[in-house]
Amino acid sequence: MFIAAFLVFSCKKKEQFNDVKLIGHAASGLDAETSPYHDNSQEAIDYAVHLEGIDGVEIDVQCSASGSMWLFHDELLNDDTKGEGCINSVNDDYLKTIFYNGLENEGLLKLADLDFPFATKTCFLDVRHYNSCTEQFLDQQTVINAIDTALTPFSLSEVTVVTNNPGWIHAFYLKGWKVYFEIGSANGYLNLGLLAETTGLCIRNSEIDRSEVESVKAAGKEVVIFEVRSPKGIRSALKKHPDYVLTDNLKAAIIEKYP
Amino acid sequence: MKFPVIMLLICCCAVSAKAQDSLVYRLGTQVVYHPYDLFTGFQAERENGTHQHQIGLSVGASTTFFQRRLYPQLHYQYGFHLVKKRWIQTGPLARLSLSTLRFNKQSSHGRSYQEEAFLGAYVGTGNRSRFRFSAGIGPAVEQNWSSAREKFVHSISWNTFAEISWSYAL
Repeated sequence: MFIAAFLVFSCKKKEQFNDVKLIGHAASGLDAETSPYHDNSQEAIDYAVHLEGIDGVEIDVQCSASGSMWLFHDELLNDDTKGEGCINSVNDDYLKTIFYNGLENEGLLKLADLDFPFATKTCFLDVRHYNSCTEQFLDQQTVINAIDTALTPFSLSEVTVVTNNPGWIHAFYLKGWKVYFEIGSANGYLNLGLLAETTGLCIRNSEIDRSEVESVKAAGKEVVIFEVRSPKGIRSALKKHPDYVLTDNLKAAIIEKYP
Repeated sequence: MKFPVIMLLICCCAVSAKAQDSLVYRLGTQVVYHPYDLFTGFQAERENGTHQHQIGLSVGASTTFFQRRLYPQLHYQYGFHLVKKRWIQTGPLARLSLSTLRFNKQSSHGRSYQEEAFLGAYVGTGNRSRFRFSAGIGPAVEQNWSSAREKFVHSISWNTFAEISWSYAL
């Protein structure tokens, strides 16, 4: 019965998606059981970029009270580590002592210490702009300086940032960085007047359809789709032919891209 | 006070000696929860007294059936009955498992190899027809070819498994 089912499914027509680049969401997937490592760790980044078929990673960066960028996804350290507070409220010395919960016990990674020697791979920096502990917006110039400081050993040929704060786009653009705006609607993006200063939009898979992807591409902009985890979700994202798919299940995404 | 203890030891030895004499072969089926996939397949077991040797062949159900990409896993497991009654068997286990997945058909190096070793425990019920729950934890090594480094890179991590199986004594 298993063999029969396997043969039936094998006979389905295969569509090619060579125009879509696969990016590891939060390195090797966010809350991904299929990844052996914690998201946004050096181990997860190494694991992702060495998989044949993964074109890069997206990592979440937050600015510490010392003015350095650290890789961390959640708002509170308490959620995933034994630490307390927000990244923005604590200093580097404290963050150096923090490790993720779990069997691997990976340490928190400072952007300046990141090892990413891959000229052909893309690295998206999802930049956070809000301190949820103090309920205040961060100073953008401090964040820009922190990214600039981290760049020398970071060895990225170009900086690619993702932000959901429209007020931060202009300064990033003036730095000559590639900027992707995270928004919940393709039409909203096209009508917001931000096209000139952004490279494209970053949007959930459920919030965009194929015709909207084509509309954004027709405007000369790129589309990054995220929240793509299950094989069904990966398939639906690939069929929209965006420029990038940020996936939480790396191998499943490669299998779907190269059927 | 000594008498009951001696009687208990004699009884245990008698049960153990009887058990050691019995050689049973079993065939069965299993469902294994593993972080990478839900593996399902068949197993064969040789039970000699308190010692069990089991081999199993299974496939990752999600990858194999929903993504049409065969994801086989082979395992060997040794188990030792600390308690072996008609209605309950329990003890420690050691398991080795190997699996491979060709995740990228376009690349000649798009294959992943996973080797895992687990220590754990099991609890089962039934004699001729037996249901068993097993679980374990241990180190895992995943090997993937890296084009950037032009060599295999190894990812070493911890993994777990939990298995529900049914077997029948031949």
